Amino acid sequence: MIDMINIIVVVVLLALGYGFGSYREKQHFQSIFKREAEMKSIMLFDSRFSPDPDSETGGQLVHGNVVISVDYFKSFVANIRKLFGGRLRSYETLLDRGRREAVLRMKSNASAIGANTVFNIKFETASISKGASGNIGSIEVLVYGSAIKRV
Amino acid sequence: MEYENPPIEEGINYSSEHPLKEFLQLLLGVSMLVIVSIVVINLLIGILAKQIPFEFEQKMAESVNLIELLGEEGLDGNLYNSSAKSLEPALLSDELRLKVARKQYLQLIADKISPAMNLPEGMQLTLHYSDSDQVNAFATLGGHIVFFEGLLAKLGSEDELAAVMAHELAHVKLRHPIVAIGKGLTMATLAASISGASGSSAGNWLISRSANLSLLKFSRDQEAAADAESAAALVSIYGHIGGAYALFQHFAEIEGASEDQFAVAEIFRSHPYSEVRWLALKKLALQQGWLTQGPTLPLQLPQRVLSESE
Repeated sequence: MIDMINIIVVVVLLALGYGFGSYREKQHFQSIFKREAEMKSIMLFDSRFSPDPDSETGGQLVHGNVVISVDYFKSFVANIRKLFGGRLRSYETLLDRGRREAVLRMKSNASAIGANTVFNIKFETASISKGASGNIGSIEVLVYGSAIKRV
Repeated sequence: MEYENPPIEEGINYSSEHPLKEFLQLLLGVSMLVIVSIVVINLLIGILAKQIPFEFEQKMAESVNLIELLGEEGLDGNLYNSSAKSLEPALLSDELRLKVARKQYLQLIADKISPAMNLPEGMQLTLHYSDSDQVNAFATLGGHIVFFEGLLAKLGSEDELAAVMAHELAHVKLRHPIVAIGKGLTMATLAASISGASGSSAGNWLISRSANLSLLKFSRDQEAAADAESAAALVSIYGHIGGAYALFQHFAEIEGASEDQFAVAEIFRSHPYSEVRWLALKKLALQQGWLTQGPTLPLQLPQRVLSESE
C-alpha cells in the first residue's frame, strides 16, 4: 500500500515537473529569442578595455542577475544520469536560459542608463542548493560589465 | 571602428533532443541493471540460504523471544514445563488454561499433518497461540508457527484449520523464512550501499523501489509454492482439499466485500489475492484429479472447557 502510494506520488511529481517545466522552458526560450532581437543594438565586449576609448561617454557598472530552478523531472533525469555519466542535457538548457536571461537583464540595465555598449563582461554562476540531498537544484547567474555610450 | 554582435545559431549549448527520450533510455537502463542483478542475487540466495542447517536457524530464532512477544509466559505447550512448573493446573487462571488448551490443540493438528509433509529430519515445529484479534498466522525462523485468535475465530472446520496449518508447515519445510530474511537483508544492504556510493537519490529511489517490488514478488511466489505443497498433504490426510478451497473462497469474499479498502494492485502485495490463490488451487486440483469437496471434520477448538471445576 505504502509502496504503491510512494510510486504514485513520484509519478505524479514527474508528470507535473515535466508538464510545467517544459511549458515554462518553451515560453522562456521564446521570450529570450524575442528580447535578444530587440536588444541587438547594445553591443557586448569581453575585452578588459573599451573597444573605442576615443569616442565614448559615461562609464558605469551594470549587471544582470537571475535565479532559476530546475524542475522535478529534470533533476530526476539528471540524478539517474549520474549513475551512467554523460551529458546532463536536462541541466544544459537550464544554464543556457539562465546565462542568456542574465545578459538580457544586464542589457536592459545598460539601456536604461542610455548606454549602447558593455565591455569587460564577466559571468558568475553559483548553485544555491549546493547539491544538498533532497533539495531541488537552483542556480544563480550573475553577469556584470562596464556600460558606456559610443558615439 | 565598426563592430557587430551577430546572433549565434541555436542548439549548440543545449540539446534539442526530446527530454522524454533521455528519460526513457535511462529508466530502461537502470531497470535492466536492477532486474538482472536482483534475479541473480535472488537465485543465489535461494540456493545458499537453504544450505544453512536448521539448527543454525533455530539458534537465530532464539534471539527473538516469541514467548514474551506473544504473552505466552507460563505456557510453553506443556503445563508442567519451565516457568509453569510450580503451578498446578487447577491454580491457573481460566484464561491461561484456555490458552494452553488451544495451543495443545494446534500442536495436535500440526502433529496430524506433519507426517504427510515429509519434513526433513531434525526439523522441529513449535506452535504458538496468541489471543490477539489479528486475522493471521505465520511461520518464522526455527520452525515456530504462530496462530492468532482472530484467524481461529473465522475458521469453520478442522479442515480449514488444517489448510492453514499445512500452508505454514510448507513454509517451514521449504525454508521460506530463512530465504526471505536472506533476500531482504541482501536487498537492503545493496540498496544502502548503492545510495551511499552513487549519491544519486533518484537512482537510489528506483533501485530501492525495484528491490522492494522484487521482494514482494518473491513473497507471493513463496505463498503460491506453500499453497501447492500444502494441498498435496491435505489430500493425503483428508482425501480432499475442501478445507483450503473453502478458506480461500471465504477470504476472497471478505476481500471483495471490504469496499472501504483502497484497492492495491497485486504487485504491491505480499500475498496474492485470495481469489487468485483459489483459482490456482482449482487448477491444480483439476490437474491432479483431487477432490475439492468432501466430508469435513468439526473444529474442536477448545472453548472455555476447563472453566468448570474438575
